[in-house]
Amino acid sequence: MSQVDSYGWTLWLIIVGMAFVTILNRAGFILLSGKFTLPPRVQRALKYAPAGALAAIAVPDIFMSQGHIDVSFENVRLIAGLFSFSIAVLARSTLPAIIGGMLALHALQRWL
Amino acid sequence: MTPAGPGEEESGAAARASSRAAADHAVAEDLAQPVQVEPAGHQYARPRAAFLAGMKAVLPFLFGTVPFGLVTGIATKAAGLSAGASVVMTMMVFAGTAQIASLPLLAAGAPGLVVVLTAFIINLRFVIYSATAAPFFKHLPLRWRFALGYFMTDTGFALFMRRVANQPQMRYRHYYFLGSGMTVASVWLLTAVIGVMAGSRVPAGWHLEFAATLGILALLAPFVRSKPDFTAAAVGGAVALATSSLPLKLGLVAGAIAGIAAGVLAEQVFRPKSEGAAR
Repeated sequence: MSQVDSYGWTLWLIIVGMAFVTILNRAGFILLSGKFTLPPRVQRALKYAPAGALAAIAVPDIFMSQGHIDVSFENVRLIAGLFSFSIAVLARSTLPAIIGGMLALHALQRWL
Repeated sequence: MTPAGPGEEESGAAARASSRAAADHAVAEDLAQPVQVEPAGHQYARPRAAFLAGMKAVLPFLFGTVPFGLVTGIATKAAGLSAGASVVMTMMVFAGTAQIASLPLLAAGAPGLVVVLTAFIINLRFVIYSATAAPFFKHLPLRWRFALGYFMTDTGFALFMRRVANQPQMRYRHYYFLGSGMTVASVWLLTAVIGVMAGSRVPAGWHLEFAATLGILALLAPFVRSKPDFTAAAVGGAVALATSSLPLKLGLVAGAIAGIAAGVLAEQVFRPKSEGAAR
């Protein structure tokens, strides 16, 4: 089901690439010894990168089913995802949200 | 200087057990709780004292690191990576949010460049930390600065900025930073390895790969409490969904960029009136 195997050895390249861009973000300015600074406007914009990028991954992931948008009870990943998200928001806690979401997925798959 | 924007994520940005502090205010809230700190102006006598103080300061936040490490390990294995690749990835990338975010992409066979670009965008917040912390470390040799950069975490950055707030010339401050960073890194790696081992024992029928998606949703949860963050997430998600037919998963990049723009705009719109009047 997972297509990870199709990457073969390039998976290692991807891991190295992820590590490289991450250390670049983390250490870049520290390595430059404070010779350059970031304009406050840019700093403010960068604050929104995690929210925008995470939503851009998760929303299509749960709203799409077999190649198209499916907003119905048939889409068990959507229902389980929204349920899990509600727990995360209300309980402010990750682990119960993930366990709750997984249980919901299995319950829905069994009953629908 | 206040700990500006300690974002969410990985290495235990949250104080409460397993609560993920994904937004600025969430960490600020945690940091507002009384924590034992040395009296203002305190200088550490030895590097070791500073290192240990950094370790001690980060301990309460490990309650967030442990479940997050476990989830990351389990989800990485469940996405179809070998146990070896899962551990290497955790160790080299050392950024849970980016790792969890990459998993659904890898499982779907997205182009490698898109996966790397996604990690880059999600970790952009580290650029802010790096730029803010850089002046404190500019006297150090390159080797040191590289190590400090690698061990940059949301929690470590926030704690460090609070510690040096009134004492920019604090002696052995880099040891303090390293003490908290290395503690988080060790716990993170250990719990992720345990997660990988646990994930290897779970039957495929459990659909554990869905845990990565749920993990991303949980990381998004704290953003609903801030209007600009929520706007960034809502627009980012909507644009990514609308452009999901684009090749190479480029809708993801489009969504992220649209989300950043929307967040900046929303910040202008939702700016407190008093602040606006003062301009």
